[in-house]
Amino acid sequence: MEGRKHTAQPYVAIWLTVAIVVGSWLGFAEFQRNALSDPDQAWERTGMLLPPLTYEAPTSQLELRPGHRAILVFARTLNNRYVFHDLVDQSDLTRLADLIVVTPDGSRPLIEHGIRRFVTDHDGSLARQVGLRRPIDGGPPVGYVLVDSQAFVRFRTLDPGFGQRAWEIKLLLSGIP
Amino acid sequence: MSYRVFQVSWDVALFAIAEVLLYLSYQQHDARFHWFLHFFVGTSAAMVVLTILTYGFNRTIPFSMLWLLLGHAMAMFPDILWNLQVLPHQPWMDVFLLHVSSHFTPGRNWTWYVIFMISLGLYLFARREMELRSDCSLHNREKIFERHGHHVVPEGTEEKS
Repeated sequence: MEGRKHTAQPYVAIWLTVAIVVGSWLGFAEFQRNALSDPDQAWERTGMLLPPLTYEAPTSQLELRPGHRAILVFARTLNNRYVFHDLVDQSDLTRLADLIVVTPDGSRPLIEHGIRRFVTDHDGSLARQVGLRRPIDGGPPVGYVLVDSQAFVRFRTLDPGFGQRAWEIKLLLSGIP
Repeated sequence: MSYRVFQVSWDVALFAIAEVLLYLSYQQHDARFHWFLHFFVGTSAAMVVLTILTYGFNRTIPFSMLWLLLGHAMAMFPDILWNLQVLPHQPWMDVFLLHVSSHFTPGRNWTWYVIFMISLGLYLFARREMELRSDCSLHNREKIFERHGHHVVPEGTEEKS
């Protein structure tokens, strides 16, 4: 029987190794987060639409066109920037909905073609009205909001990488009237 | 024995490679949070099932790493639909191991990490218990053989003719 004795040692070693490796990995990923991200990651890019007729958008401030969907892009500044990296996707998006760009400093991107309106949000009141949360660094939000043709907010998220999310926006718009 | 260790190591290595590839794919979409979440949920569920089966059948369930990978695949399935641009997330997608509501657990991923470690602990405990029980029954059989005058030859030490 000598050779067949089972101690708990290997099992404890496996458990501790996994605990340390996976725990450190998770901690490192949390530490590396973008300062423009949502402090609560569960609310960032949920991929799920908000219920219809629930969150009204500030129609007058945004001058939303009745019967048209809108994409509100919130950025810190657009000086020397394109709104979206992929211009083909940008032109696709502007066919699907009115593209409205909101910045706190009133700056404009290099390519303005396809953008319906620029809105300045000095005090962050517009961001609050559409329900955008504050990022980790506490500054103005960076992300996007989707509004349906009845002027209700159907999706909102902080997203520092919004310039690469054209396909996500298109997918979400497919479920918004 | 060495063959068995080799086999187990390959299981673990293939699982680790698959998970790292999935992680990189999520990272490319700035979605590491979601990889951790669905990894913890899926593998925890798989380990709970493995624990029950190990106890129930009193033997090691084969391809345990494949079970873990399948658990993860099930938990992340709506993300596959999302990436293939088939469908945005919807409340009914909770059928895939709480794909939607698991995001909002208090404590978020750290809570799921603790649940994952508890599940792993349970599974390892079940494996050890099963091995102890099988040792016990083997020991009893040896005693019965010896009582009837049979000589027990340890496995692998038989004389070759």
